[in-house]
Amino acid sequence: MNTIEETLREHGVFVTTTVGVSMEPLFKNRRDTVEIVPVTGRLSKYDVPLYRRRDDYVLHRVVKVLPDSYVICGDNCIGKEYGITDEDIVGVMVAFDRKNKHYTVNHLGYRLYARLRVAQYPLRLFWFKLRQQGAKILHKARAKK
Amino acid sequence: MNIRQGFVLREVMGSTVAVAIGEASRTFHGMIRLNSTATQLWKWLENGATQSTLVEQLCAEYDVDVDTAAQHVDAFLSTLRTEGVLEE
Repeated sequence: MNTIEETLREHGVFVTTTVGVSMEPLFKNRRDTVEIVPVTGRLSKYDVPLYRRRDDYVLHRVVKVLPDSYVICGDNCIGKEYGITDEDIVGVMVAFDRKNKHYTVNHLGYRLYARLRVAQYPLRLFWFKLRQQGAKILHKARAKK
Repeated sequence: MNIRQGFVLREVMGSTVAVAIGEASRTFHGMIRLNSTATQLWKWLENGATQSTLVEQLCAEYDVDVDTAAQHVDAFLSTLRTEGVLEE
């Protein structure tokens, strides 16, 4: 079977299911599908590129555009990735099927979701740190018993 | 004979592709591009058609003789078998 890059070159589109939890709540593991096309020009904030990270392909969201790279973060992630360049980008999502319903990235509801999700990042980070602290306190309390 | 569970059709850029979701996506990682005839055959298969009924339906739907239809159906089913999409 062709690689993703070969498929994009040959057919101009690649469709695949999403794997993992990093883009929840938008995509659930192996339930939804995404439509990827080759990139023309630079990406924009809120775009969802498919990019290479060592031997893997990753589908996360652009949260910041820098002059020579992007800052990328999954919708369900805390860790941001820095230094993703145009050379790492394989394609960009232009549409998806979520719960068997089709959307393009121009869908108003999706655009609002993307902006809200990125804006919520500080809250997600706060909640994550709160849970981490809580887990540490609980662990210490149990160790003392 | 049927399409294995977990394969779905998607319309993209004017054509139809088949991709795997759910458990099927653990072993099938690509996509199968279907022309209009293959798409129709796929849909008939999803509805439980056998190889012979596929040939009959192809002849009824399109202006083809039985031998030509049988060749198309054979080629189509062979591709699906190779890709692990067919459940027999």
